[in-house]
Amino acid sequence: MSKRVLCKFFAHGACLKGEHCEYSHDWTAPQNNVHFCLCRLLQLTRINSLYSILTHLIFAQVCTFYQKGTCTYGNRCRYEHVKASRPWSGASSSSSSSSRTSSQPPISGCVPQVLTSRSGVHCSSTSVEVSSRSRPLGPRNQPAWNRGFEQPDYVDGTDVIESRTVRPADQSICSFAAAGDCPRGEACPHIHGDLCPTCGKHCLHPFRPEEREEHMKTCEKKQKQLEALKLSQEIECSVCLDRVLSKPTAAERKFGILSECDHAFCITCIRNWRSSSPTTGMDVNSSLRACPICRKLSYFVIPSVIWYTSKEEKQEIIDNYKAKLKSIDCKHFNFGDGNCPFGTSCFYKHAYRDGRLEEVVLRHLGAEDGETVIAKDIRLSDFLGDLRIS
Amino acid sequence: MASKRIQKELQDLQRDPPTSCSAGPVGEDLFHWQATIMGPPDSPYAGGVFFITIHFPPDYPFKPPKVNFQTKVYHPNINSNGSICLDILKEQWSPALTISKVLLSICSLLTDPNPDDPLVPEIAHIYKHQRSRYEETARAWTQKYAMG
Repeated sequence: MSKRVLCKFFAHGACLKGEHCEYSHDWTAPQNNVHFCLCRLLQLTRINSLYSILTHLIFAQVCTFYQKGTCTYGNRCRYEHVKASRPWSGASSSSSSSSRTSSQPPISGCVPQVLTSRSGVHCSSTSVEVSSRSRPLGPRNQPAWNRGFEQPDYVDGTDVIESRTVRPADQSICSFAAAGDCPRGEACPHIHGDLCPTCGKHCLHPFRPEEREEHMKTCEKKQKQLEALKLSQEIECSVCLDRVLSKPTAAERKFGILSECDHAFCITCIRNWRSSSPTTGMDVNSSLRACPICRKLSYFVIPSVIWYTSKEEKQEIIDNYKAKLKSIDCKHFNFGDGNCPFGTSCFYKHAYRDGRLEEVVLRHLGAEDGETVIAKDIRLSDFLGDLRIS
Repeated sequence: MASKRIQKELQDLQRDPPTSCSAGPVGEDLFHWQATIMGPPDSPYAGGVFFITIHFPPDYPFKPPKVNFQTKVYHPNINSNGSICLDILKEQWSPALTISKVLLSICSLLTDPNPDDPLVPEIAHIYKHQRSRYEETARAWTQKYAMG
């Protein structure tokens, strides 16, 4: 029994027991093919996609180096040296079709031609070996699910069992098709996902509705962001007259959005302007805090890496920014030890060391001119400071 | 920042020069420019070519450029030193303003003087009460200082 299992030391080229080893030292033995290694790898890594990628590459059994023109192993190569027009479809369809009974007609049109090319080169290899080699990967080597549904009367013994044991929703979709293009095309043994209208890739799982919806949502969001980014690239800052997103450093490649108008500036430019010292006769509110273009007064600037196209998008950017600041402790408030000059208007978090948030009760006082003013903190020390003890 | 922005303005001026104005650096110094303005046709300054010097501050565009007339002008808002009383060159300056916009504003100031905020009260008084005398003198000054 153990002779049937490939020696893992041998697999790494370092078995000291040589002929006396109780494990198999035969690479070509059907049960000892790479599938064993892959299963181990899969067990270790639990990466399904890796498995599908590796099976695509290795079980195709066609030497990729030979396909490109040079294989240093020459006739000692473990993989087939076949020149095929479609390198992947040849091996996959031949192994899957030969695993079925020979009375079954091949399904895809390209199979017979490829079969002859394969048998011509591999005259010594028996069909038994091919079939048994493909046996361990039965569930993965069966025809694509969608093809099975198209031809319900085509029933193979093994296929029936497999389709019962593995639910379609549990099958992972072909990662090659999901990434854009599957070289096997129709002959691929994996489910090909449905076409996503947004990203144009076959990455929608036909049997997992939640996953589909999630992908569609994220994909649309991504697409929107990409378009917004494209538009943002063109926008120039009216102060430095440069494109905001083509500035040399990443810190500079940000827009400074004014809350009250829709004129675009670099965050550094607008901040520099707002913090510059006012020249004589300049009113801070009507000049520095105003938009340099329309002179509309804005009390704050919002940094953003992307420009907006609609009011809702702008509001979203502002809300996200405020939410982010609200999670950062205010350095002026300093957990209750300090005094924040911005008071209740502060965007930062006003929390004490125990996590309790500051509760502010504003004292409204009637001013002399009849208007209501908000009283600032009044401390006893303020009165005592003025007191003169004689 | 300042030199880059000035360079950019110079490129824009060369690519798309405004009508009736021109501007450019005097020598190697990018912060010192000279500009010319053609007297607006619907004003007593018509036919004159007025020279203007521009000095950019090191923190341009956050501070306004210093703009002065080199050519003598008879105008309520321009004094004998060539100083211009224009709000956008002082408290109403904005970093979004460019030299080409400033020159255009000066052009419109030549057409429409602002006698209520004068730099030379005597000229403003004459402009307000003896318009024809103002026009005559302005035309004579243009002939004398801004032509040929």
